[in-house]
Amino acid sequence: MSKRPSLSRLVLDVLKPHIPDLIEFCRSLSEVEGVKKVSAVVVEVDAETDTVKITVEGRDIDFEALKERVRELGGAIHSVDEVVFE
Amino acid sequence: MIRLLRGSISRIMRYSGAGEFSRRYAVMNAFDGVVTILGIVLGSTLLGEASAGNVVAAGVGALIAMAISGVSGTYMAERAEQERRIRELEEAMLTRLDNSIIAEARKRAAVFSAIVDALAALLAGLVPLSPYFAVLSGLLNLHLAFYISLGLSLSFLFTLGLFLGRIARSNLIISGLKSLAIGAATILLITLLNLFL
Repeated sequence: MSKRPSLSRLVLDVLKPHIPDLIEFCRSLSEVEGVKKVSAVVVEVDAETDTVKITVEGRDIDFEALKERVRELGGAIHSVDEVVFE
Repeated sequence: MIRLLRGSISRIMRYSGAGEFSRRYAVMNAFDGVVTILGIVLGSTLLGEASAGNVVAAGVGALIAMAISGVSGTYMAERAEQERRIRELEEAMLTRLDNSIIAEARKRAAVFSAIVDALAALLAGLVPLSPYFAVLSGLLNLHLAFYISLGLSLSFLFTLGLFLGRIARSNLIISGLKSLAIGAATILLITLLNLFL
């Protein structure tokens, strides 16, 4: 019996305040259900905010929980730039 | 439990910048507490013949008032400042931050600053007042208590000066002496007042 593909990779364009910093931000995202790896690249730094590209990998990533976590951390997902079901 | 508390306090500090504010409030109000008690001790001893009970009553009264004014004043001022920061951040982010940990930490930071503020004044004030408690429990005589209280006030002020010097990374001794000068000025003014009254 083959398992159905699940959400395994996401690339998100996220706007976040300077604090919490990127390390703490990604650490918190890595605690979300299904996430095995989080990597992030800063795209732009503004006076109050950072625009970052966050890549989340794992198995059966709970996107709703991820979205909620980003919001809790004071960030906003501006776009979902890449999606992989595997 | 303690680790959890410490973790949450350090998170509040990091997310709100309250560490710096709390430190400022703590020093400012420790100064207030000590100098107020110094004034009460000096005034009541030099200007009138106050018993240890009188000094303790006046001192504790002043400290309670300071703690209450510290809690309420700091809470309201700090809450307003923190809310303004949240609104500024919301404008930059173009989103609401209502349930975010940032808003949460900033709101708690106001409470934390208020508690620090009140405790600093109260505890710092109790230091120079402590010899009079000792008089009440029969451990010291009034005359000696006066000098010990002065000594405690001045050394506390000096220590606060050292602490400020360390924050500023400047010369510790000069910073300590500056703050000692505040105590000396208080003593001088009240003694002068005593000469004229």
